[in-house]
Amino acid sequence: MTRPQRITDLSVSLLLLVASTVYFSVWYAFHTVNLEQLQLFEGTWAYFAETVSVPGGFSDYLGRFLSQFFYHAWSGALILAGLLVLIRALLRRICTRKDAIIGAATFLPSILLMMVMCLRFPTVSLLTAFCLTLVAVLAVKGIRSTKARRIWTLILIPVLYLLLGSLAALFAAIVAIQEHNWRFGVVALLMAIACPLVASLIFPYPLGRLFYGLSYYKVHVQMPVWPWVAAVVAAAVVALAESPVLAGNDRTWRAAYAAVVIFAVPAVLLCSSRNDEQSLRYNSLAGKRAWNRIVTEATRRAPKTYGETACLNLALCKTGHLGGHMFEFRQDGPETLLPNENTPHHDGLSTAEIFYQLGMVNNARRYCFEALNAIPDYQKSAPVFKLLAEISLVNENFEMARKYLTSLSHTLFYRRWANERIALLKDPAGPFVPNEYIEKRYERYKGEDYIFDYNHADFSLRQLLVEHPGNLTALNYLLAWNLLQKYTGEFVATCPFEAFTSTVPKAWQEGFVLDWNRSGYPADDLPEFITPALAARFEAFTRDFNANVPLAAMQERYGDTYWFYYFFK
Amino acid sequence: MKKCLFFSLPLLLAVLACTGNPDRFEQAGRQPDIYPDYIGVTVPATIAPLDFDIDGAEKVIAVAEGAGGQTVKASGKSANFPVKAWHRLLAASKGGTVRVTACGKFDGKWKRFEPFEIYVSEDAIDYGIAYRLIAPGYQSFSHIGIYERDLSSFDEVCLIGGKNFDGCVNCHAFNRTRPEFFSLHVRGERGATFIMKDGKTVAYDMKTDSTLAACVYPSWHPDGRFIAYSTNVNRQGFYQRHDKVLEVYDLKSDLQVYDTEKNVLITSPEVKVDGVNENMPAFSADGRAIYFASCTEQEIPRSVTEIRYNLCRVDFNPETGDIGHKVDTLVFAEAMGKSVSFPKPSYDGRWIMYQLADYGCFGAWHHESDLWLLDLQTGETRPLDGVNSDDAESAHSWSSNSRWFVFGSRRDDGLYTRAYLCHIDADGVCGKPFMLPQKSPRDFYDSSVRSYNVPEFVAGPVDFNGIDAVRLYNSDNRTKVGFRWSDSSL
Repeated sequence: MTRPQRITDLSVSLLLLVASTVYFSVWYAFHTVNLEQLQLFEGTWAYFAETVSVPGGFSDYLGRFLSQFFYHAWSGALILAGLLVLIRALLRRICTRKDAIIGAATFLPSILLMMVMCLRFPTVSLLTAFCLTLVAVLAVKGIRSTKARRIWTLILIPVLYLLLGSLAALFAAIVAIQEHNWRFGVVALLMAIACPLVASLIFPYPLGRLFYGLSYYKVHVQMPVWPWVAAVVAAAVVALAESPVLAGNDRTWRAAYAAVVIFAVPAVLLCSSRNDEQSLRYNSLAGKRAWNRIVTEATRRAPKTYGETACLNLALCKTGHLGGHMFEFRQDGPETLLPNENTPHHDGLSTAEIFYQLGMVNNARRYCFEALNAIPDYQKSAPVFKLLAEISLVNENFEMARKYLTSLSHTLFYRRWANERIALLKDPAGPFVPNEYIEKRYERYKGEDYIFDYNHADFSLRQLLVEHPGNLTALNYLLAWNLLQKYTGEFVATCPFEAFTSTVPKAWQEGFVLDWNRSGYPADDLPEFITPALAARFEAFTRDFNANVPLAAMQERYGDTYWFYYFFK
Repeated sequence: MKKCLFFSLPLLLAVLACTGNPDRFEQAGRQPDIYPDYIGVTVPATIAPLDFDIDGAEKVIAVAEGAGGQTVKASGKSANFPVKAWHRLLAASKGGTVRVTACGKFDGKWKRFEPFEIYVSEDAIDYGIAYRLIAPGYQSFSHIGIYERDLSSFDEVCLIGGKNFDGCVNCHAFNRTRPEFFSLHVRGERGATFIMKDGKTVAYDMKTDSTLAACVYPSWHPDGRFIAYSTNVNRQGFYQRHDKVLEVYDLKSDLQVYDTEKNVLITSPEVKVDGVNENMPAFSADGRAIYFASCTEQEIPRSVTEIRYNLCRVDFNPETGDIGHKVDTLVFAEAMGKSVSFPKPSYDGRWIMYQLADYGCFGAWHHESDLWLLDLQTGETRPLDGVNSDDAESAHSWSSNSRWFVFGSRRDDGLYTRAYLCHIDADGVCGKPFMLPQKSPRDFYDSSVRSYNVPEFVAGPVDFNGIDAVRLYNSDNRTKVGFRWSDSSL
């Protein structure tokens, strides 16, 4: 390679490192963090033994180990970027020809793998398996004796299959290509094919999954083809580098590097989903109880799905703005307040968080379990375990709390939090129990038991208030529920208008005014807590409504009001 | 006693010296708090090592001493005994006791506890148990599987499900522990009832125009030709208080018998009564009767606490498959303000074990659910006091010799069901039950977030090809079944 070629090669490598770090830590940060939230890496022998006991288990363990650092988006992004660059560097090193065109082509597998990492349920295990496969190729390549090299290759194929999974076939293919011996190549490839077949007799997994790789993607139905496209491209690049025909023909190297960069951008965007990213952002922030950040987020990018709006409504409630601002955002009925199992795009953990904040701990626990069951590769989830531990502490089920906390105490990032609470278990009635748990114990329903009926959630919310009138979250939810259900009479009967020391929240005023109007009372007799500006706006609304002003204009003028929701949703 | 102590003390000292651990320790003056609680339990001679942890101990040293002075030692974070030596010890101690002396290291100091005893029964136990492992989940499900566990070791094999299958494996049953007769219901989009018999597995669509729904709770007839099923339209609801989680209830349910030879479902008006829910059938030991639970339909879910099942019996003709026309009530639980579920007759024909709760049909979610025993000779019924706990006992099953039973209990933490085994003698006297042994049990059960659901004894390894069954499940290959009314002249 010439000096300009070397500089270009290095620059593109740096570009890959920087661009992927920025992409995964800024634009796609919540996908990155989500990889950590869908697992609970325990630093125990039992966890290691369980993980490595299946084909590909070692790379999976390594991937899971690295995934725990995805707790912070920046460290996760750095690890992803590092692995992608490392894969490219290893492939570059494996290639016999080192010219610039081959140099450019060796970026392709990393770009394809980056595409995989932009999907909804990727695993870091795929990248670790890819890296280690290439390391194994290099190790074999270093053996000088042809006979020894071939024997080691044949020994390593099943070993790699057990350790790294199906990418052992990539190892076999690359070594076979570089050996230039078709007989050996056939034997090596047949051996690689035989590994999953033999494994199917030992491990209780469908053959398709044993061929694909058990841990290369979290979902095991409709698995993406990209991991194997990346493997095939990697093998093809190595084959190209063996070709004497193209040797030295690097006049177009600038175009080759440019093509790689140009290909990378749409390819990555093709596999990315901004909508998913937004949903994950809302869910993650709700799980972290970052209420102000959710509200800020909503002002930048309004929620689109039921689940996102539910997170926002909770955040508005916790920051004291539900009554003031909820109708400034799109509301689509009661499910945007309290999702249920049939609500589209709802997330188990954030739904659990809503119920937990209300004091409905049994429902919260239920949705925690739903969240665990929704993890496609059946792993545990640290944030879910954290909430389950809190629910158990609130419920004074200390044995159950100890169970969840023990698992969390084996992790890197949740250990301190868990150990602090494990210490509480020694004196669960002592003075060090956080106020939050004591408060939640007051908020819980303790009356005569009954079965929760989603359609009558207002009854349950009312029961919570009977139990603990100071439960402002339940009060706000009850008011909002009645408004979203269009039960204005119930709303007016429930809302403690006179108790507000400052201005009554906008939505509550709007609900009152609407009910007042529909009950036939004169507008002049509106009580004092209705501001003149709001009364005037309602008058304008009724005038426009009666004049059949087009929907778009009504939305523009009154889209932030309860009245618009009431009549047009 | 003193003699045993006299002999065990130098033995323990010798062990401590050999392990190079404590050269001094203080006497605790009490028995250790061990997990699981194996103190005073009765075990079969072939059971896997009863490994245990001492609460709060950093390290444990334990010596188990059996008949003839044979000893087995264990040391480490948990007391994990070597399997072969343990089996030799138990085989030599059959009909006697094994005395376990344990030391625990707490804050760097060793404590020696008073020894405790384990009784080794002469009654044999079956090869293993099969159970469903299921994580709590109510609308969705994942990682559910039917597993088989060899009781003499820690080996567990997944029969179907686990991480390789997305269907919800559900009610399973073997024929009086015989693993060659296996019935399994799988829910989901492609739901089917799998029946393995004579080495062949067939996926059935058990819903007919004349019956409520698919077949749910199964019970094999002793001769292997018939399977009694309930067919249920069930729902679940979630309580508002924190102390109960949920209620599983039937909107409707009936009984039916499947004839595996004629491929036909048989029912009778006596077990398909309007306004009455018949549920959880079980063939009698001689195969000439079906026991089941029955209740009057209630307004659901408002009157869910009024659901009370009684234990009933109806005749059955094993030659024709016909169901009798007279239903007897054996336990009128309604009058006690209680509800019966899952009656299971012992295979020697002497007992029926059932669950009794305040109401409902799904005891696993009722903390007050207990196991009761009905003496079929005297008609006397009583709770199994030494067996029951403050939490839910459920899903019991008999060993082939009717000297052991396995059941699920939530006594550990109130949520996750663990499998317990218990000895019962010919007079119905039970030993102290013990938790299914695991290596490093505290770590094992702490990290396990799945319940042991419906454990059943199996006399040998189950030869069921889960991968083939999954393939069958994913195919459209379903065998339809016929229907006929029972001949009421029985």
